[in-house]
Amino acid sequence: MMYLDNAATSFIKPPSVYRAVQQAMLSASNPGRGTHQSARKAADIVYDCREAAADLFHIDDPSHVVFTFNATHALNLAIRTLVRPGMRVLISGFEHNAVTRPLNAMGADIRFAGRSLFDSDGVLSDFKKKINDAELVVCTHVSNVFGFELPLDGIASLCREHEVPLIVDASQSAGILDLNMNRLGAAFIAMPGHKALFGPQGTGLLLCGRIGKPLLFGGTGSDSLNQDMPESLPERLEAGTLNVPGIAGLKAGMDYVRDRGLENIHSYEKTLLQQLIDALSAIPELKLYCDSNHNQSGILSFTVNGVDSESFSEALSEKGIAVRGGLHCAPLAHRSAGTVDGGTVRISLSPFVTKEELEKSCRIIRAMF
Amino acid sequence: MEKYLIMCRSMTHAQRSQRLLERNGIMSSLIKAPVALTRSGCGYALILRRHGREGIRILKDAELLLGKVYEKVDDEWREAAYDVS
Repeated sequence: MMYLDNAATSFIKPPSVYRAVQQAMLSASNPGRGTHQSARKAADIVYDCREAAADLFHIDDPSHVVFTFNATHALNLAIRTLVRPGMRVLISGFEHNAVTRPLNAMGADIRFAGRSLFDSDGVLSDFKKKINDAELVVCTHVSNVFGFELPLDGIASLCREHEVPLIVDASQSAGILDLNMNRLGAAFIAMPGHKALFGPQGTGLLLCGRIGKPLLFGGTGSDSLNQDMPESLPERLEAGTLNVPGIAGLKAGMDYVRDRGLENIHSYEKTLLQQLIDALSAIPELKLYCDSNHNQSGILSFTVNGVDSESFSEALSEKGIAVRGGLHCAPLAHRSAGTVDGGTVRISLSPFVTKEELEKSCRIIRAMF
Repeated sequence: MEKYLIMCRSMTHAQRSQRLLERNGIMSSLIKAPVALTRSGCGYALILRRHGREGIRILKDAELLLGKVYEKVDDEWREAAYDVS
């Protein structure tokens, strides 16, 4: 199988990730539940990963790195902390349901800014126009459908200037683009562990610029007589037993990202993306969604004349190519781009995709017409 | 020999404190806090067998000294004069 569905999850991980998961299962029990050897090993694994994340994302205090099940869990924590019914929340036109559904459930007054695909200046200018009336901004860093890199630095700067808290969905950028919590000054940054950070499924991170409101209540291994959750991070947001093997794998994945380098990963994916665009743009039946200004990460969406995106993705699957068709849990992004009726076929890359397998995939796609 | 016990509010807090001390060349042991010394149940603590005063100063400067500090006197833990809680 040629795996080109890395925006959903990175299926091929560095070998160190598999080893770390297995070693954790063989040596570590439950962190924060004692100081015997296996509990201490678990606690060390967890704290090592907090420190690695704090280092990668420029956070002074590793206690402000909270482990979650995934980015959706992290976004729910952040949104539940800051949103109250009727609050005016400004979001980009490229948000995932992991943002829009919790906002809807909380009764937020959702407003949109920046709906033109690959128009960074236009997006920023729209945020500038609308931020005066916003009480909170939630913005994705990279669209999970189109790979559009939104102007996050500019949006964060606007938020700081207007003292509007910012929640960042870094689902498609963590591990690829630089994310500096100190510089952005975000209230929260949410991300999965299982995509470009190469952890196992069931891992995620919430980077906290402030104390969050718990979603889950339960044991934390400390302060047990107190029937409220502890006031301090990370325990306040981490009720119950943590996914220690997953966290061990996530640490190994982050080590891989650090060693290979964000710029190298981003640059390699850009090279693959250009290879893909060059090959597929020669097929007249395809309409590619790509950016001449290069504000695009390693994700390419396309539509096919006369074939719906799900059927085409199924056909590719039968030929050994794993991609994703449909709406990608982001109907808002498809509405913004005008593709909501049929969705798109999405190819998403990773540092483990080779030029040769991409070339082979493109040959197979060409032969389908 | 001087021996100090520094109360921590969680495992994470204890780990963060311990690693800061390590980076400053001071070794400590991370333990479950004795029940008699915890007010809210299930606490963690660091024990410093050497360089205790220096370790306490380092934690205080880093704003990590968030609980009581005890000193072993006559085989008993007695509250030391470093209480910042």
